[in-house]
Amino acid sequence: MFSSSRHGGGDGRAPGPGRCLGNRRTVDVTLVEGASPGRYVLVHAGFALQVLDETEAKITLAALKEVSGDA
Amino acid sequence: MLDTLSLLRDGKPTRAWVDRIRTKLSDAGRTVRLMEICGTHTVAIARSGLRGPLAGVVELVSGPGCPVCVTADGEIDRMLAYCDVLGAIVATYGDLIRVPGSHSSLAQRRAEGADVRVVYSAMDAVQMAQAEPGRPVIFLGIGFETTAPAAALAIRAAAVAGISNFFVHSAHKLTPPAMRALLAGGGARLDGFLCPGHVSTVLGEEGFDFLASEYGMAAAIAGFEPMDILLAIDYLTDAALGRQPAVLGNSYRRWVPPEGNPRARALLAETFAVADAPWRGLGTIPGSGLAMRDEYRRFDAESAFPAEVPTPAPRRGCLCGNVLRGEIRPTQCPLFGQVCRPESPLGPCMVSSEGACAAYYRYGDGTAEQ
Repeated sequence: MFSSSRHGGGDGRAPGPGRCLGNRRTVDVTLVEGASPGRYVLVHAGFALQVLDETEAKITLAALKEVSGDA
Repeated sequence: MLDTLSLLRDGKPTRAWVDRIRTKLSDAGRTVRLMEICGTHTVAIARSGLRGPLAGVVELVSGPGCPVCVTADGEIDRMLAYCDVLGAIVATYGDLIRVPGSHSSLAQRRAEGADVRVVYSAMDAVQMAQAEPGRPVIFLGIGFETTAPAAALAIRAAAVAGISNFFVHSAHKLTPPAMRALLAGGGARLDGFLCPGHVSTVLGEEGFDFLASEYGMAAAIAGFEPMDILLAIDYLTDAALGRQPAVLGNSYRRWVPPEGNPRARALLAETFAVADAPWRGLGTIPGSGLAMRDEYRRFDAESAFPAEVPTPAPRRGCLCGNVLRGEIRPTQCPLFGQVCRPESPLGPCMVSSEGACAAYYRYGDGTAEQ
Protein backbone atom coordinates (compact mmCIF):
# COMPACT_ATOMS: atom_id res chain seq x y z
CA MET A 1 0.00 0.00 0.00
CA PHE A 2 2.99 2.26 0.39
CA SER A 3 4.96 3.94 -2.30
CA SER A 4 7.13 6.94 -2.61
CA SER A 5 5.87 8.88 -5.52
CA ARG A 6 6.93 12.03 -7.26
CA HIS A 7 4.52 14.87 -7.10
CA GLY A 8 3.95 16.19 -10.59
CA GLY A 9 1.52 19.03 -10.13
CA GLY A 10 -1.29 20.44 -8.05
CA ASP A 11 -1.31 23.42 -5.74
CA GLY A 12 0.02 21.65 -2.68
CA ARG A 13 -3.37 21.21 -0.99
CA ALA A 14 -5.79 19.56 -3.38
CA PRO A 15 -5.26 16.10 -4.88
CA GLY A 16 -2.60 16.29 -7.55
CA PRO A 17 -1.28 13.93 -10.17
CA GLY A 18 1.82 12.03 -9.11
CA ARG A 19 3.99 9.33 -10.60
CA CYS A 20 4.63 6.00 -8.90
CA LEU A 21 7.00 3.60 -10.65
CA GLY A 22 6.16 5.40 -13.87
CA ASN A 23 2.40 5.17 -13.32
CA ARG A 24 0.27 8.25 -12.92
CA ARG A 25 -1.90 8.35 -9.81
CA THR A 26 -3.95 10.99 -8.09
CA VAL A 27 -2.64 11.58 -4.59
CA ASP A 28 -4.33 13.61 -1.85
CA VAL A 29 -1.79 15.95 -0.28
CA THR A 30 -4.10 17.51 2.32
CA LEU A 31 -2.08 16.07 5.19
CA VAL A 32 1.37 17.36 4.20
CA GLU A 33 3.03 20.70 3.79
CA GLY A 34 5.38 21.53 0.95
CA ALA A 35 4.29 18.90 -1.60
CA SER A 36 5.24 21.09 -4.52
CA PRO A 37 5.73 19.82 -8.08
CA GLY A 38 8.84 17.68 -8.43
CA ARG A 39 9.05 16.69 -4.75
CA TYR A 40 8.76 13.10 -3.57
CA VAL A 41 5.96 12.13 -1.20
CA LEU A 42 5.31 8.97 0.80
CA VAL A 43 1.83 7.73 -0.05
CA HIS A 44 -0.41 5.44 1.95
CA ALA A 45 -3.93 4.41 0.91
CA GLY A 46 -4.14 7.34 -1.50
CA PHE A 47 -2.86 10.00 0.90
CA ALA A 48 0.58 11.56 1.13
CA LEU A 49 1.88 11.27 4.72
CA GLN A 50 5.29 12.91 4.32
CA VAL A 51 7.45 14.87 1.91
CA LEU A 52 10.96 13.53 1.37
CA ASP A 53 13.73 15.39 3.20
CA GLU A 54 16.33 15.29 0.43
CA THR A 55 19.14 16.55 2.66
CA GLU A 56 18.57 13.73 5.15
CA ALA A 57 18.49 11.19 2.30
CA LYS A 58 21.97 12.34 1.25
CA ILE A 59 23.25 12.26 4.84
CA THR A 60 22.00 8.68 5.27
CA LEU A 61 23.63 7.62 2.03
CA ALA A 62 26.93 9.20 3.07
CA ALA A 63 26.80 7.39 6.43
CA LEU A 64 26.19 4.08 4.70
CA LYS A 65 29.07 4.58 2.29
CA GLU A 66 31.44 5.39 5.12
CA VAL A 67 31.35 1.80 6.37
CA SER A 68 31.21 0.12 3.00
CA GLY A 69 34.37 1.95 1.98
CA ASP A 70 33.21 3.41 -1.32
CA ALA A 71 32.64 6.93 -0.02
CA MET B 1 17.43 12.77 -5.97
CA LEU B 2 16.37 9.67 -7.86
CA ASP B 3 20.06 8.65 -7.84
CA THR B 4 20.25 8.99 -4.07
CA LEU B 5 17.06 6.96 -3.58
CA SER B 6 18.34 4.28 -5.96
CA LEU B 7 21.67 4.08 -4.16
CA LEU B 8 19.88 3.68 -0.83
CA ARG B 9 18.08 0.74 -2.41
CA ASP B 10 21.32 -0.75 -3.74
CA GLY B 11 22.33 -3.90 -1.91
CA LYS B 12 26.07 -3.53 -2.59
CA PRO B 13 27.19 -1.99 0.70
CA THR B 14 25.15 -4.51 2.70
CA ARG B 15 27.93 -7.08 3.26
CA ALA B 16 30.24 -4.60 4.98
CA TRP B 17 27.45 -3.66 7.37
CA VAL B 18 26.58 -7.28 8.13
CA ASP B 19 30.25 -7.94 8.88
CA ARG B 20 30.44 -4.87 11.08
CA ILE B 21 27.45 -5.97 13.17
CA ARG B 22 28.66 -9.60 13.37
CA THR B 23 32.12 -8.52 14.48
CA LYS B 24 30.83 -6.19 17.20
CA LEU B 25 28.62 -8.89 18.69
CA SER B 26 31.07 -11.78 18.29
CA ASP B 27 33.88 -9.77 19.92
CA ALA B 28 31.60 -9.00 22.85
CA GLY B 29 30.27 -12.58 23.02
CA ARG B 30 26.75 -11.27 22.73
CA THR B 31 23.60 -11.93 20.78
CA VAL B 32 20.64 -9.59 20.35
CA ARG B 33 16.98 -10.32 19.89
CA LEU B 34 15.08 -7.56 18.08
CA MET B 35 11.42 -7.21 17.23
CA GLU B 36 9.82 -5.38 14.34
CA ILE B 37 6.15 -4.46 14.65
CA CYS B 38 5.30 -3.58 11.08
CA GLY B 39 4.02 -5.84 8.33
CA THR B 40 6.12 -4.03 5.74
CA HIS B 41 9.23 -4.73 7.85
CA THR B 42 8.20 -8.39 8.11
CA VAL B 43 8.17 -8.64 4.33
CA ALA B 44 11.26 -6.45 3.81
CA ILE B 45 13.34 -8.53 6.25
CA ALA B 46 12.17 -11.84 4.78
CA ARG B 47 12.73 -10.69 1.20
CA SER B 48 16.15 -9.22 1.95
CA GLY B 49 17.35 -12.57 3.31
CA LEU B 50 19.11 -10.72 6.16
CA ARG B 51 18.23 -13.37 8.76
CA GLY B 52 20.72 -15.82 7.26
CA PRO B 53 23.84 -13.63 7.24
CA LEU B 54 23.00 -12.40 10.75
CA ALA B 55 22.12 -15.82 12.16
CA GLY B 56 23.82 -16.68 15.42
CA VAL B 57 24.25 -13.08 16.53
CA VAL B 58 21.03 -11.24 15.65
CA GLU B 59 17.60 -12.78 16.00
CA LEU B 60 14.87 -10.86 14.20
CA VAL B 61 11.34 -11.60 15.39
CA SER B 62 8.04 -10.27 14.11
CA GLY B 63 5.56 -8.69 16.48
CA PRO B 64 1.94 -7.51 16.15
CA GLY B 65 2.50 -5.30 13.11
CA CYS B 66 0.36 -6.79 10.38
CA PRO B 67 -2.99 -4.96 10.32
CA VAL B 68 -5.04 -7.91 9.15
CA CYS B 69 -3.28 -10.34 11.50
CA VAL B 70 -3.97 -8.36 14.67
CA THR B 71 -7.68 -8.07 13.86
CA ALA B 72 -9.35 -10.40 16.35
CA ASP B 73 -11.78 -13.20 15.40
CA GLY B 74 -14.61 -11.40 17.21
CA GLU B 75 -14.01 -8.28 15.09
CA ILE B 76 -14.07 -10.33 11.88
CA ASP B 77 -17.34 -11.96 13.00
CA ARG B 78 -18.78 -8.51 13.70
CA MET B 79 -17.71 -7.35 10.22
CA LEU B 80 -19.31 -10.42 8.63
CA ALA B 81 -22.62 -9.42 10.21
CA TYR B 82 -22.71 -6.32 7.98
CA CYS B 83 -23.17 -8.64 5.00
CA ASP B 84 -26.68 -9.32 6.37
CA VAL B 85 -27.70 -5.64 6.31
CA LEU B 86 -30.31 -5.20 3.59
CA GLY B 87 -28.78 -3.79 0.39
CA ALA B 88 -25.40 -3.20 2.00
CA ILE B 89 -22.15 -2.71 0.14
CA VAL B 90 -19.26 -3.78 2.38
CA ALA B 91 -15.98 -2.16 1.33
CA THR B 92 -12.49 -2.80 2.66
CA TYR B 93 -8.80 -3.26 1.88
CA GLY B 94 -7.88 -6.39 -0.05
CA ASP B 95 -6.18 -8.61 2.51
CA LEU B 96 -9.03 -8.55 4.97
CA ILE B 97 -11.59 -10.32 2.83
CA ARG B 98 -9.79 -13.68 2.94
CA VAL B 99 -9.32 -13.72 6.70
CA PRO B 100 -11.50 -16.39 8.25
CA GLY B 101 -13.62 -15.40 11.23
CA SER B 102 -15.01 -18.13 13.46
CA HIS B 103 -17.53 -19.34 10.85
CA SER B 104 -16.93 -17.63 7.48
CA SER B 105 -14.92 -14.94 5.70
CA LEU B 106 -15.88 -11.88 3.68
CA ALA B 107 -14.70 -13.67 0.55
CA GLN B 108 -16.98 -16.60 1.34
CA ARG B 109 -19.90 -14.26 2.00
CA ARG B 110 -19.19 -12.57 -1.32
CA ALA B 111 -19.26 -15.94 -3.08
CA GLU B 112 -22.64 -16.50 -1.42
CA GLY B 113 -23.99 -13.26 -2.87
CA ALA B 114 -23.02 -10.47 -0.46
CA ASP B 115 -21.77 -7.27 -2.11
CA VAL B 116 -18.21 -7.12 -0.73
CA ARG B 117 -15.84 -4.81 -2.58
CA VAL B 118 -12.12 -4.19 -2.33
CA VAL B 119 -11.03 -0.55 -2.31
CA TYR B 120 -7.65 1.15 -2.53
CA SER B 121 -8.67 4.04 -0.33
CA ALA B 122 -11.49 4.84 2.09
CA MET B 123 -12.36 7.70 -0.25
CA ASP B 124 -13.35 5.12 -2.90
CA ALA B 125 -16.06 3.92 -0.51
CA VAL B 126 -17.37 7.49 -0.13
CA GLN B 127 -17.67 7.67 -3.91
CA MET B 128 -19.59 4.37 -3.92
CA ALA B 129 -22.02 5.85 -1.38
CA GLN B 130 -22.45 8.90 -3.59
CA ALA B 131 -23.05 6.73 -6.65
CA GLU B 132 -25.63 4.54 -4.90
CA PRO B 133 -27.45 6.78 -2.41
CA GLY B 134 -30.15 4.17 -1.76
CA ARG B 135 -27.72 1.61 -0.32
CA PRO B 136 -25.67 1.70 2.87
CA VAL B 137 -21.93 1.56 2.14
CA ILE B 138 -20.04 0.17 5.13
CA PHE B 139 -16.28 0.72 5.09
CA LEU B 140 -14.31 -1.65 7.31
CA GLY B 141 -11.42 0.41 8.63
CA ILE B 142 -8.43 -1.62 9.77
CA GLY B 143 -4.80 -0.69 10.16
CA PHE B 144 -2.71 1.60 12.31
CA GLU B 145 -1.90 5.29 12.63
CA THR B 146 -1.08 5.28 8.91
CA THR B 147 -4.45 4.17 7.51
CA ALA B 148 -6.68 5.76 10.17
CA PRO B 149 -6.12 9.30 8.78
CA ALA B 150 -7.48 8.14 5.40
CA ALA B 151 -10.65 6.88 7.12
CA ALA B 152 -10.91 10.13 9.09
CA LEU B 153 -10.67 12.20 5.91
CA ALA B 154 -13.30 9.99 4.27
CA ILE B 155 -15.67 10.60 7.21
CA ARG B 156 -15.01 14.35 6.98
CA ALA B 157 -15.62 14.30 3.23
CA ALA B 158 -18.92 12.46 3.70
CA ALA B 159 -19.96 14.97 6.37
CA VAL B 160 -19.14 17.94 4.14
CA ALA B 161 -20.95 16.41 1.16
CA GLY B 162 -23.98 15.57 3.32
CA ILE B 163 -23.75 11.86 2.50
CA SER B 164 -25.95 9.86 4.88
CA ASN B 165 -25.41 6.32 3.56
CA PHE B 166 -21.65 6.06 4.29
CA PHE B 167 -20.56 4.25 7.45
CA VAL B 168 -17.25 3.23 8.95
CA HIS B 169 -16.51 0.33 11.25
CA SER B 170 -13.40 1.49 13.03
CA ALA B 171 -11.15 -1.44 13.94
CA HIS B 172 -8.11 0.85 13.71
CA LYS B 173 -5.35 0.20 16.19
CA LEU B 174 -2.59 2.19 17.84
CA THR B 175 0.95 0.86 17.89
CA PRO B 176 2.50 2.23 21.11
CA PRO B 177 -0.11 0.66 23.46
CA ALA B 178 0.59 -2.75 21.88
CA MET B 179 4.33 -2.29 22.52
CA ARG B 180 3.53 -1.38 26.11
CA ALA B 181 1.36 -4.50 26.44
CA LEU B 182 4.19 -6.67 25.08
CA LEU B 183 6.66 -5.12 27.51
CA ALA B 184 4.23 -5.47 30.42
CA GLY B 185 3.79 -9.14 29.50
CA GLY B 186 7.49 -9.89 29.79
CA GLY B 187 8.77 -8.18 26.66
CA ALA B 188 9.40 -11.36 24.64
CA ARG B 189 13.01 -11.25 25.96
CA LEU B 190 13.83 -8.39 23.63
CA ASP B 191 16.98 -6.32 23.41
CA GLY B 192 15.31 -3.72 21.24
CA PHE B 193 12.57 -2.69 18.86
CA LEU B 194 12.75 -1.76 15.21
CA CYS B 195 10.07 0.93 15.25
CA PRO B 196 7.68 1.00 12.28
CA GLY B 197 8.90 3.49 9.68
CA HIS B 198 5.54 4.33 8.20
CA VAL B 199 3.70 4.69 11.51
CA SER B 200 6.60 6.93 12.53
CA THR B 201 5.91 9.28 9.62
CA VAL B 202 2.73 10.13 11.55
CA LEU B 203 3.84 9.72 15.19
CA GLY B 204 7.38 11.03 14.75
CA GLU B 205 10.22 10.27 17.13
CA GLU B 206 8.01 11.64 19.91
CA GLY B 207 5.69 8.65 19.50
CA PHE B 208 8.37 6.13 20.48
CA ASP B 209 10.51 8.06 22.95
CA PHE B 210 8.67 6.31 25.80
CA LEU B 211 10.41 3.00 25.04
CA ALA B 212 13.72 4.35 26.30
CA SER B 213 12.49 6.85 28.85
CA GLU B 214 9.91 4.62 30.54
CA TYR B 215 11.15 1.09 29.89
CA GLY B 216 14.86 1.59 29.26
CA MET B 217 14.30 -0.33 26.02
CA ALA B 218 16.53 0.34 23.04
CA ALA B 219 14.61 1.28 19.91
CA ALA B 220 15.29 2.69 16.48
CA ILE B 221 12.96 3.92 13.76
CA ALA B 222 13.80 1.96 10.65
CA GLY B 223 13.09 2.27 6.94
CA PHE B 224 12.48 -0.60 4.55
CA GLU B 225 15.54 -0.99 2.34
CA PRO B 226 18.01 -3.64 3.55
CA MET B 227 20.44 -0.83 4.36
CA ASP B 228 17.85 1.03 6.43
CA ILE B 229 17.24 -2.10 8.46
CA LEU B 230 20.96 -2.78 8.92
CA LEU B 231 21.55 0.79 10.02
CA ALA B 232 18.90 0.39 12.72
CA ILE B 233 20.27 -3.03 13.77
CA ASP B 234 23.74 -1.51 14.05
CA TYR B 235 22.34 1.21 16.31
CA LEU B 236 20.52 -1.33 18.47
CA THR B 237 23.67 -3.44 18.65
CA ASP B 238 25.61 -0.47 20.00
CA ALA B 239 22.80 0.15 22.48
CA ALA B 240 22.88 -3.48 23.65
CA LEU B 241 26.65 -3.27 24.10
CA GLY B 242 26.31 -0.08 26.13
CA ARG B 243 28.11 1.98 23.49
CA GLN B 244 25.04 4.03 22.83
CA PRO B 245 22.87 5.74 25.44
CA ALA B 246 19.36 4.32 25.65
CA VAL B 247 17.67 6.94 23.50
CA LEU B 248 15.52 6.39 20.45
CA GLY B 249 17.47 6.13 17.22
CA ASN B 250 16.13 7.18 13.84
CA SER B 251 17.67 5.69 10.71
CA TYR B 252 14.77 6.87 8.54
CA ARG B 253 15.20 10.62 8.89
CA ARG B 254 14.55 11.21 5.21
CA TRP B 255 10.89 10.36 5.78
CA VAL B 256 10.51 10.72 9.57
CA PRO B 257 10.99 14.15 11.11
CA PRO B 258 11.10 14.33 14.94
CA GLU B 259 7.59 15.76 15.08
CA GLY B 260 6.06 13.27 12.60
CA ASN B 261 2.93 14.58 10.95
CA PRO B 262 1.07 16.82 13.44
CA ARG B 263 -1.65 17.55 10.88
CA ALA B 264 -2.52 13.85 10.57
CA ARG B 265 -2.47 13.41 14.36
CA ALA B 266 -4.77 16.42 14.85
CA LEU B 267 -7.16 14.97 12.31
CA LEU B 268 -7.21 11.65 14.18
CA ALA B 269 -7.82 13.38 17.51
CA GLU B 270 -10.68 15.44 16.09
CA THR B 271 -12.39 12.47 14.45
CA PHE B 272 -11.74 9.57 16.80
CA ALA B 273 -11.62 9.06 20.54
CA VAL B 274 -9.11 6.63 22.00
CA ALA B 275 -10.84 3.40 23.09
CA ASP B 276 -9.97 -0.09 24.30
CA ALA B 277 -9.50 -2.58 21.46
CA PRO B 278 -9.18 -6.35 21.08
CA TRP B 279 -5.99 -7.67 19.46
CA ARG B 280 -5.39 -11.16 18.23
CA GLY B 281 -2.83 -12.74 20.51
CA LEU B 282 -2.71 -9.84 22.95
CA GLY B 283 -6.30 -9.62 24.20
CA THR B 284 -8.00 -6.31 24.92
CA ILE B 285 -5.45 -3.52 25.27
CA PRO B 286 -6.59 -0.35 27.03
CA GLY B 287 -6.46 2.79 24.89
CA SER B 288 -5.24 0.95 21.80
CA GLY B 289 -8.17 1.59 19.45
CA LEU B 290 -10.02 4.45 17.79
CA ALA B 291 -13.78 4.89 18.19
CA MET B 292 -15.88 7.53 16.44
CA ARG B 293 -16.27 10.82 18.30
CA ASP B 294 -19.85 11.84 19.16
CA GLU B 295 -19.86 14.48 16.40
CA TYR B 296 -19.37 11.72 13.85
CA ARG B 297 -21.44 9.01 15.54
CA ARG B 298 -23.91 9.05 12.63
CA PHE B 299 -21.16 7.51 10.48
CA ASP B 300 -20.47 4.76 13.00
CA ALA B 301 -21.42 1.41 11.48
CA GLU B 302 -21.59 -0.37 14.83
CA SER B 303 -24.22 2.06 16.14
CA ALA B 304 -26.16 2.19 12.87
CA PHE B 305 -26.33 -1.57 12.40
CA PRO B 306 -26.29 -3.23 15.81
CA ALA B 307 -25.82 -6.99 15.83
CA GLU B 308 -25.39 -9.62 18.49
CA VAL B 309 -22.17 -11.48 17.80
CA PRO B 310 -21.37 -14.40 20.10
CA THR B 311 -17.85 -14.53 21.53
CA PRO B 312 -15.94 -16.83 19.18
CA ALA B 313 -14.38 -20.01 20.50
CA PRO B 314 -10.57 -20.04 20.55
CA ARG B 315 -9.05 -21.11 17.23
CA ARG B 316 -7.87 -24.70 17.45
CA GLY B 317 -4.29 -25.51 16.53
CA CYS B 318 -3.51 -22.12 15.01
CA LEU B 319 -0.61 -20.41 16.79
CA CYS B 320 -1.00 -16.95 15.19
CA GLY B 321 -1.28 -15.41 18.66
CA ASN B 322 2.07 -16.86 19.75
CA VAL B 323 3.64 -15.68 16.48
CA LEU B 324 2.27 -12.16 17.00
CA ARG B 325 3.74 -12.05 20.52
CA GLY B 326 7.13 -13.08 19.16
CA GLU B 327 7.07 -16.28 21.24
CA ILE B 328 7.56 -18.65 18.33
CA ARG B 329 8.78 -18.45 14.77
CA PRO B 330 6.13 -19.28 12.15
CA THR B 331 8.01 -22.46 11.27
CA GLN B 332 7.54 -23.70 14.83
CA CYS B 333 3.77 -23.91 14.35
CA PRO B 334 2.82 -27.52 13.54
CA LEU B 335 0.29 -26.33 10.95
CA PHE B 336 2.86 -24.17 9.06
CA GLY B 337 3.30 -25.29 5.47
CA GLN B 338 1.33 -28.47 6.19
CA VAL B 339 -2.37 -27.72 6.39
CA CYS B 340 -1.83 -23.96 6.63
CA ARG B 341 -0.50 -22.53 3.37
CA PRO B 342 -1.06 -19.25 1.51
CA GLU B 343 -3.58 -20.85 -0.87
CA SER B 344 -5.51 -22.47 1.99
CA PRO B 345 -4.68 -20.42 5.09
CA LEU B 346 -6.01 -21.36 8.51
CA GLY B 347 -4.77 -18.28 10.32
CA PRO B 348 -4.51 -14.61 9.37
CA CYS B 349 -0.71 -14.57 9.62
CA MET B 350 -0.74 -16.85 6.57
CA VAL B 351 -3.55 -14.96 4.80
CA SER B 352 -2.03 -11.52 4.64
CA SER B 353 0.98 -10.98 2.42
CA GLU B 354 2.32 -8.92 5.35
CA GLY B 355 1.82 -11.75 7.83
CA ALA B 356 4.91 -13.37 9.33
CA CYS B 357 3.77 -16.87 8.31
CA ALA B 358 3.16 -15.85 4.69
CA ALA B 359 6.55 -14.09 4.57
CA TYR B 360 8.37 -17.15 5.97
CA TYR B 361 6.49 -19.42 3.58
CA ARG B 362 7.32 -17.30 0.57
CA TYR B 363 10.93 -16.36 1.34
CA GLY B 364 12.07 -19.00 3.82
CA ASP B 365 13.67 -18.13 7.14
CA GLY B 366 16.79 -16.80 5.40
CA THR B 367 19.13 -19.40 6.86
CA ALA B 368 19.05 -21.87 3.98
CA GLU B 369 22.27 -20.60 2.38
CA GLN B 370 24.21 -20.58 5.65
